[in-house]
Amino acid sequence: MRKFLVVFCLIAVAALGFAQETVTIRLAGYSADTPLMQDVLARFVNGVIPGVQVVWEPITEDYLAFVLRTLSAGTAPDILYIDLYWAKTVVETGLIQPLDDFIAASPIISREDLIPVLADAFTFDGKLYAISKDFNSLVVFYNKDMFDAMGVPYPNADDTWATFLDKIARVSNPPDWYGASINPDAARFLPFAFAAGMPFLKEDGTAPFDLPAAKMGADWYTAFNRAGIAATSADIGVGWSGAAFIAEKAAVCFEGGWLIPPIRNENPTLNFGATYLPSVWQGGPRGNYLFTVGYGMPVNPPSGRPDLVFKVIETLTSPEIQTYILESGHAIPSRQALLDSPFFQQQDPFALATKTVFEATGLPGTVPFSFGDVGGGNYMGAVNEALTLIMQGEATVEEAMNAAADNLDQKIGQ
Amino acid sequence: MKRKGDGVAAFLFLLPLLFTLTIAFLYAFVRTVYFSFTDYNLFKITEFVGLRNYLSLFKEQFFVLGLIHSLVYAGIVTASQTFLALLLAIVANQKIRGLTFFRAAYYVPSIASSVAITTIFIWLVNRRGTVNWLLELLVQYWPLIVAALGITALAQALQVVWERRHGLPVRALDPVLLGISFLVGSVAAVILGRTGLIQPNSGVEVAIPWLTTRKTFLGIPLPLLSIMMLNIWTTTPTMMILFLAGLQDIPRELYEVADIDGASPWQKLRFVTVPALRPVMFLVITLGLIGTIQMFDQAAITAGIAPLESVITLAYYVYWAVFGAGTLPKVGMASAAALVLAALTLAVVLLQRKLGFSEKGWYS
Amino acid sequence: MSRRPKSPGELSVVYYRGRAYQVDARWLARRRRVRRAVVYLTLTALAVVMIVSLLYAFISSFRNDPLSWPPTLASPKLWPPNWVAAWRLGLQGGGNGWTGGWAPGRRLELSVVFSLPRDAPYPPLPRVQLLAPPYESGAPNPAPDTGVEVVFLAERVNGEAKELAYEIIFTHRGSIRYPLLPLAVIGPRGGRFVRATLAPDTVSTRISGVYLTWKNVVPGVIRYIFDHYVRAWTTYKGQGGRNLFPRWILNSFLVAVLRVVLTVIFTTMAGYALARLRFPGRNLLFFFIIYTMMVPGQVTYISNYLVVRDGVFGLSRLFGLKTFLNTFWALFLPGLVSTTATFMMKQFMESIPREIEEAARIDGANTFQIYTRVILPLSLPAIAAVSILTFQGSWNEFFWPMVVLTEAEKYTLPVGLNFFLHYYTSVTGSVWNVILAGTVMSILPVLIIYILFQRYFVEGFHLSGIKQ
Repeated sequence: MRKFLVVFCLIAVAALGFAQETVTIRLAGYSADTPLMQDVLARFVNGVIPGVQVVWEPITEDYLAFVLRTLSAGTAPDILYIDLYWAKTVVETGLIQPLDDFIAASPIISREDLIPVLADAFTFDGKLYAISKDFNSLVVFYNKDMFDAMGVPYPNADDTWATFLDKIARVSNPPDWYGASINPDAARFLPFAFAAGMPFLKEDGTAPFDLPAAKMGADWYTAFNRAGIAATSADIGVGWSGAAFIAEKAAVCFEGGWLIPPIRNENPTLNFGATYLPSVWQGGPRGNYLFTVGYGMPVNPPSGRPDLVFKVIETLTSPEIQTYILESGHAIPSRQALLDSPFFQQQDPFALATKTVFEATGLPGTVPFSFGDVGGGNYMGAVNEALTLIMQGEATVEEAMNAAADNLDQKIGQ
Repeated sequence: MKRKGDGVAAFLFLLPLLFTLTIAFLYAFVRTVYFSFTDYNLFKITEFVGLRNYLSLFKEQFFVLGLIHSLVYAGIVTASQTFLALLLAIVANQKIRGLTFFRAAYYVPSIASSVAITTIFIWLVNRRGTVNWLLELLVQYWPLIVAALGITALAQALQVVWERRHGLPVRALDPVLLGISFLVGSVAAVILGRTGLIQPNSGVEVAIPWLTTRKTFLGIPLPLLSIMMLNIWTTTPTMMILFLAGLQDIPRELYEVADIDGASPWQKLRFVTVPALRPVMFLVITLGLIGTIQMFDQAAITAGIAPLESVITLAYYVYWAVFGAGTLPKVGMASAAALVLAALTLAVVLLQRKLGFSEKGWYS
Repeated sequence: MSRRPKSPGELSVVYYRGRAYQVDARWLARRRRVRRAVVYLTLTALAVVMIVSLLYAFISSFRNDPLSWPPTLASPKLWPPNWVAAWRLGLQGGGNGWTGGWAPGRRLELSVVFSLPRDAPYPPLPRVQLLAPPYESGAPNPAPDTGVEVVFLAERVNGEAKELAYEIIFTHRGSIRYPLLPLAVIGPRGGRFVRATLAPDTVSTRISGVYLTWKNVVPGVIRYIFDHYVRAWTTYKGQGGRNLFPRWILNSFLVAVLRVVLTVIFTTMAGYALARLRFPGRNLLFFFIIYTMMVPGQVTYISNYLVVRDGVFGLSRLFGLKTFLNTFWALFLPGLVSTTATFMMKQFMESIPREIEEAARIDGANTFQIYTRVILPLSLPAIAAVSILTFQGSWNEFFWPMVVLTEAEKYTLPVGLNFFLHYYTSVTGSVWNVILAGTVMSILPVLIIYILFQRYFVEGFHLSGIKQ
């Protein structure tokens, strides 16, 4: 009996000792990242960084709601996704840890390693709150077979709004396929409006949608659907315009690098290409959005080891892992050092499209996808409503955009 | 009948109930009132802001829309389901065998979760869904339907004249004859359609986006109208069963006396049926109002599919302002709105008590 | 309108608008029969509207596209010849005719026939795309281990068209068994699909050619017929690779059972006190109960949320938790003692004759003994009704679980189903068959309980004030 007890105690002590050595770190992210993240964690983190076990928690609900609730309850995971779109809201809770001190102390990473625009995007009041994990921007995806079939030249970097509209009109061949799948979606439309010269807000801080530039953008953006050469994804019967493209129901769509993995999975032999969004006139301005998500850490992470948490963030954004992610075609890395990756020299359509997306972010006119104090919901909601009305023929561009401006002014006024 | 120790025993027996009531209702209610005067957002130190929440509430688009939607929704749904249920109950007011079966069938949508029923409904009202298909059929076969109705009217007229000639007491819309006439009309229309004498409309396409639209009908957003249809569909039969029970309690003799006194069917409805149904009527109306003015589930479920402006209700606003707005939680605003909701509920309860249907009247 | 005649053929008197009519009793009897038919038709039509829509949803859960236009009840999955093909392919690919699979060392033959105009030039061989399994299924991608070879089999002239038959041969070159082998075959441009070993799930004409897809070409019978149910069931592996849907069912079930137990204990106690014991403030308490029955959860949820968040005044420390949020226990706070159920218990207990209780008291029983030995056994019908209604209410509860549960694995069914709806309509495009399959599975348990215990539901409605 005594022998048994001794053995038992030994095991218990060993187990305790072991438990003290390994720190469990919870990482919660978008559920769509599950396959990639589980792969990455198994390859590069768990069992590689000593004393750390990272557990992946996919979040299927509204991620911002998840973050706010768990921060409020003190049960937030050790590592959070912070989407630029709502980063400011989360930082305002005061419960997100600035990372500057960790970066300053780190021998591996310094602020100069990060692509400046991405680092600036996550900087509030001079403090950096998240390290960008990847980024994306919009490009034109086009179906080569359809353009060949109709004898229309492919869209290219020299296209202007006018030539692009003309090409789409010529390639459209309903009911077999539409020239484009375009939705009343502010995130796709606003880059064009910005390119036309619309400011984010007027100088007096009111909504800019009643300016001529905004109306010009809206007129062009909705012209495709009004002319019947483009259809919304709902009209085509799919969930988003990328799906219409994959199903070969639209010759063109405006999407980001996130379209590449679904093409690879659902229609791998699709004959497609990608190019920049058209410019307003020959050699004229272009617009684009920069979408990015970063890793952040709550103040007092529940594991109690902010140093280890930062170590994981640092590892996940290291050039090694980022190269791996890039080559698996999932996302575009956020490290300066990867700009010359050999991956970008490949000639298959997936690598070429990735390269185009990557280059598009570097073009002048690209702005971060964030809405400051106005609130993305307010800003985009007003625009979406106007675009819907115009596309459905329920209002003219003039009426709808003026109404959108009033709508947003009311919300800002509160 | 007071015994010693009853109070202590009662307290012990009631302890769990009192615990819940105190924490989850009383304390919660007091705190809601308190929050409604602060700018609490779950994170920062709370500051007292006086009546600011209440004032900005009525300037907030989503709250105003939610309040209007809730009231309109409650009014229309309660009125329609009460009317329809009464109508159906009067039609079905007979000694019915197998009532248990029908009752079982009618309760089925009520026992399934609102999420499941709403999910099926969203599928049915899809742009390319079955509801639009049925409407399309309706439009296509409209000429045949008109023909069927016309022949029904003709057959009814002939039958009524014939019966009256034979000295039989039938009224113009006698339900028995109407049933026969309708059968004749339908059969005739089918024959006309089959022989090609009447062609259905062709080339019509019905693709109403019931949920994914900002369109309105008579000032009511189409998505909200769809939810109204859903609610009327699921609750009318239950209410009908209530009316039917009430109708069958009315002594037959009352109607016979009315017949002898020369009452028209309308007068019988007005002076016999409706007064006798008053208690049931108020039960149906109060249950309807309470259930509809608090509508949350359907709004929350469709909110991701329909535009928020078109489906938001008062109850959903209270949730949305905290967890859905994409900003820091607006607890103060939500609390103020919650109190408006509580006040509306209280108004319905008080109204029902004032009208004399206290728990004695309609509960037991 | 009339008095029943004593025997047919007699004349009887009816009054109409104050005038007396003598009518043939057979006429009256005939009228009565027709009227009854009208009544039954109305009732049946209503029942059809209520039940057929659910039945239609059930059947549609087997359709490949529940939004196909015009709507149809026909589904390849319910067509027996396809079952035979599914069995054979399942056997070939995975050695199992029921659940199929793609096993190491296996070889699979799929023949596909396309037709082209007779004078069209010979097209290149069909292209085969090995697709990734739907990501939420968590199934590994068989593409790297699968070899594909396409051979031309035969040509047959059929009127103005020629039919070209091809054989697609798959070989498993790896060492893992895959549950799914999804694929697309792209036939000749301008051609038509004629037939295949197993009917494809989708056929569309695209710029790249006739596009056929199979969600799983090695299904086996069960996996073929119930594919959408299996997909719903296996959607999303949570932590440790556990499927979400069964977890939701388990969560809902555990919560509902525990709720029933707690409700029965607490509400019989409270109901007894309210029905039989005299104490100060009884009427006030009673009015308060009635009011709380009416107040919606949204009025009080913010405070309740905070109470749960802060661990119910630190009580959660006893469980070693900082907060009750996102735990099973959070679901119990606001409805720990349901006021509606208390009300029903009180109503029922008031109907128990006092004499029984008085007799027990004379025999020397104290209040507690009266409660356990007299009142509880006599209240069994009410307990049954309350249990059933509580179970149903808990199974269907949506709002509060949505507020306090933040993690998919902790969800109860309605919250999970709501997630399902949004996931399968927005993230993946509209996959209505899987949504409908999930919906059917969520309704089924409570429907079975309803059919078995219908009597108690009615009793419950009665007690809660809805008179029958």
